[in-house]
Amino acid sequence: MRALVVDDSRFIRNYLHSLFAEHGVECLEAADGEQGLNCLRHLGPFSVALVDWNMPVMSGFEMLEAARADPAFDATKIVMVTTEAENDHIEAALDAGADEYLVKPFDEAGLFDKLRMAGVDEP
Amino acid sequence: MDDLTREFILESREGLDRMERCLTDLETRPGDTELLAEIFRSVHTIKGTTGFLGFSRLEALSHAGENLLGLLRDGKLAANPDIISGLLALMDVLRGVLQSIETTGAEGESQQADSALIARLEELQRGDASLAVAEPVLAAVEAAPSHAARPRKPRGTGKHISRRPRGDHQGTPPPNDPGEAGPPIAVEAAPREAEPQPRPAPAAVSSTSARPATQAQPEAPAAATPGAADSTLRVDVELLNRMMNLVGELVLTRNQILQATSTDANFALLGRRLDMVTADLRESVMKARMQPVSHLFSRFPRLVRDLALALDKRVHLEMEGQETELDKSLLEAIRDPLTHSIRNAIDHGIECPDVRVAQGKPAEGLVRLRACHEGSHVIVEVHDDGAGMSIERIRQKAVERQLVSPQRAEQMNEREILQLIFLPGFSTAAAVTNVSGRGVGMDVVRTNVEKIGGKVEVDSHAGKGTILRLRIPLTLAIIPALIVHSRGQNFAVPQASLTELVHMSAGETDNRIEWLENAALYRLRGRLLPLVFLDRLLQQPPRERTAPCDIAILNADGRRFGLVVDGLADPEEIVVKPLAAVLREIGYYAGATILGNGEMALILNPGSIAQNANVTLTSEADDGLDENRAGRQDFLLVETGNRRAALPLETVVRIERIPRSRIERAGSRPVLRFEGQLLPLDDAASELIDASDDPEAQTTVVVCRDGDRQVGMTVSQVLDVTGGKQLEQAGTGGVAGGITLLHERVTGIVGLSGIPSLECVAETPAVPDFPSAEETQ
Repeated sequence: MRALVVDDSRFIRNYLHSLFAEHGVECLEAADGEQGLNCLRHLGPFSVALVDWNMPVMSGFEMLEAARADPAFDATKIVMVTTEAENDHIEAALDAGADEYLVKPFDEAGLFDKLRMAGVDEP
Repeated sequence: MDDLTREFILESREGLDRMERCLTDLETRPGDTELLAEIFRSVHTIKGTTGFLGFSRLEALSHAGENLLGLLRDGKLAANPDIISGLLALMDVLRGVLQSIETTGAEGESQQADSALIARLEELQRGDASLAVAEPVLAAVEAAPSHAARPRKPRGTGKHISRRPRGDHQGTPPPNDPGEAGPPIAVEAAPREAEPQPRPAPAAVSSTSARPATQAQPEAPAAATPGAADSTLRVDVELLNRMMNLVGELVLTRNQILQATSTDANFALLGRRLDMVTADLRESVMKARMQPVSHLFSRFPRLVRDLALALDKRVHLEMEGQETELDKSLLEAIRDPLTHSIRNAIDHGIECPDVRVAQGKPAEGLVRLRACHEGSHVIVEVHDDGAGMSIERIRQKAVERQLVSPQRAEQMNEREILQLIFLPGFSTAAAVTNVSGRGVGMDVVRTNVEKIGGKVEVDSHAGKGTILRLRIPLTLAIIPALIVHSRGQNFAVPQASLTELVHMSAGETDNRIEWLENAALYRLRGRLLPLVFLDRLLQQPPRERTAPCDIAILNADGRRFGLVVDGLADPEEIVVKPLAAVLREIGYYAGATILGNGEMALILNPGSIAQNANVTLTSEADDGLDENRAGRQDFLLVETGNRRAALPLETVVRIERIPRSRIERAGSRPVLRFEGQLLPLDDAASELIDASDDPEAQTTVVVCRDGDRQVGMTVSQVLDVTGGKQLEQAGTGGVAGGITLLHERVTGIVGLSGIPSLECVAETPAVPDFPSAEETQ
């Protein structure tokens, strides 16, 4: 399993990185949607991409749409990471092809529950 | 403290610093959505991460701030000084808490102050209650259909929402309870004291339902763009400039090597290869600086639309050749001239719909923007199918404004009249409209385009429309220039402003230069031309009055004058280097360059020299009328063998003394190596037939433009440049190019089209179509 974390917050990237590292999951990071897309294109394949909603340059939703428009990433599960205030975006994200969503704050169990629900293979 | 917390503090502080900068900017630009999004994100990130670490005090504070900022970002609330001070207060408190976490590891307690601040932020959210209600209600109504088609998930139980089959959507009843659908902010942000919320419910509905709708729109096109990013790379413009600079150095080195090795056959071959590689490399780097004109064109649909609306006209904009590429800096430089030309086309060109219909035109006017390549230039055309320009009206205006005398105006032909619109102070607008403005006329368009070495041409037919054509060089960094000497120093004169050269031998100078008080004048074909002596201008040691000299006739920004120099050297392609500020301030120089022989030369700026020397503006009309030249043309009078022949001056590219070694043979025909091209050469003067094999022997060659190609012609001698009337059209007098009367003698005009192209040179031992008509007295 390889994971891509796309979030403009270093804190979140480090947090997810450490959670993945404990489970021996390789994890790459990107700080905005555009970087995220570039990682998908050039550093893939990834089993899962965890994508923050609100980011500079290119939002998580834009990145989701772009990624889902490209069949090359069909095998990559996309999990949107939102805060509660963005709850009403979730549906739009699922409609646009997101596999799951994860609401901040989450803990280790929450993260891996969601990954399982999204259908990501066990680490 | 663990690493994650330390990271959190660091990142949050950075966010708050950013927020502070943006907030101060916000005071001057309260509507800037970029700024608002940035501030929102700073607080949003803090809020999003506090939950992980369990900092509840920070969470409550940033939550209140986020709600307020969300309204600002979505345009539901306008920033005002009160709001900005509230946000600044929030920022201070957040910083305080971060400080406390860093030193004590805990947030500290300050329940009351926090509550007061949160309440204040709440109050600000309600802000202009009246405004906030009116707009959102509308938004809610608009958003309703899409909103209704989609079932709303139960709120606040986010963790258990899972994907449901899409087919389900239709079956679920639409939610319509505004209270239920209210945004999280409405409920959660309530102050702890739980005071009743006077906020009207509709505002609450809209803030959630309208958000997805407004966000979805801008997202769609943005998502489509990344595709192009795959095969492209972003490069810093600085880096490109540096590469261009280095290529410039390489061009200089190449020039030096070519000069140094021209005598050795082996080195000459290597030199030629270096020449080719350098040319290719230069072209590639130049290409990297190119941007398609669509970058510029894309702003015009909006401009056209707004102008048409403001003027009650109907205009359709067509754009062609958007993929045509131009150097980035030049693209910037033509932005204003082009914008102005389009304004003109719509303001003065396109008629009102009723007028158009009355004239049998479609009610909707057409403006066509077209870009294309033409040799080393890019042509940008603005074409409108409007009223066109009335020749009579231009004539009248020009006389009224005393730009030409009535007598002159009568004698001018249509083409010359049209050129008058480029004179400063000329404007045909019946009334000054607020669209085209005052004081900015076609002269500014011309000046701006000429500044970058371009040209403006106009063609107009009354009732049919106008075409304005901007001719722009592909690049600015390397230009052709003529090297001149003055008192032992080299100077480069950009070819773009050079119109002709006059040589004066010793003794001639005194007779032919006329003095009027302190101003020197030269009579060029009957017209007085102000002279500027370069040595005096630059306060060099003056030359002797009778010493031989050359006059470079320059035309810069509509000012025409002769620049007197000691002598001329070769024309060269020079690389323009920027000047140090000290030299720039002098004003006479446009840059510096290093010549092929390794010497330095300053590049003269003809425009500012003319201004400094108080050369007045020449109206275009002056050019034509002193000699009553209507219908006349300038010719280069040459001697070929024993005959005299005339070449239309406008076709002459260059006259050069060329060593025999540069003339090669393709089959039986001579060809000339010129600026990296092979040109067909017409040995009209039979210079090459009886030529000895001495490679040092030189031949005078005139290089002419014939349509898209260039051709060379050997001549025995260049006699004069003079004006004449074409007496007979091509073909009628047994002479390819017609005949003309020069210096009272009938002279044959060379028909350049008769010189075969290189493709057929090998097969056709064609007889050159050279005038056979002997001149007659």
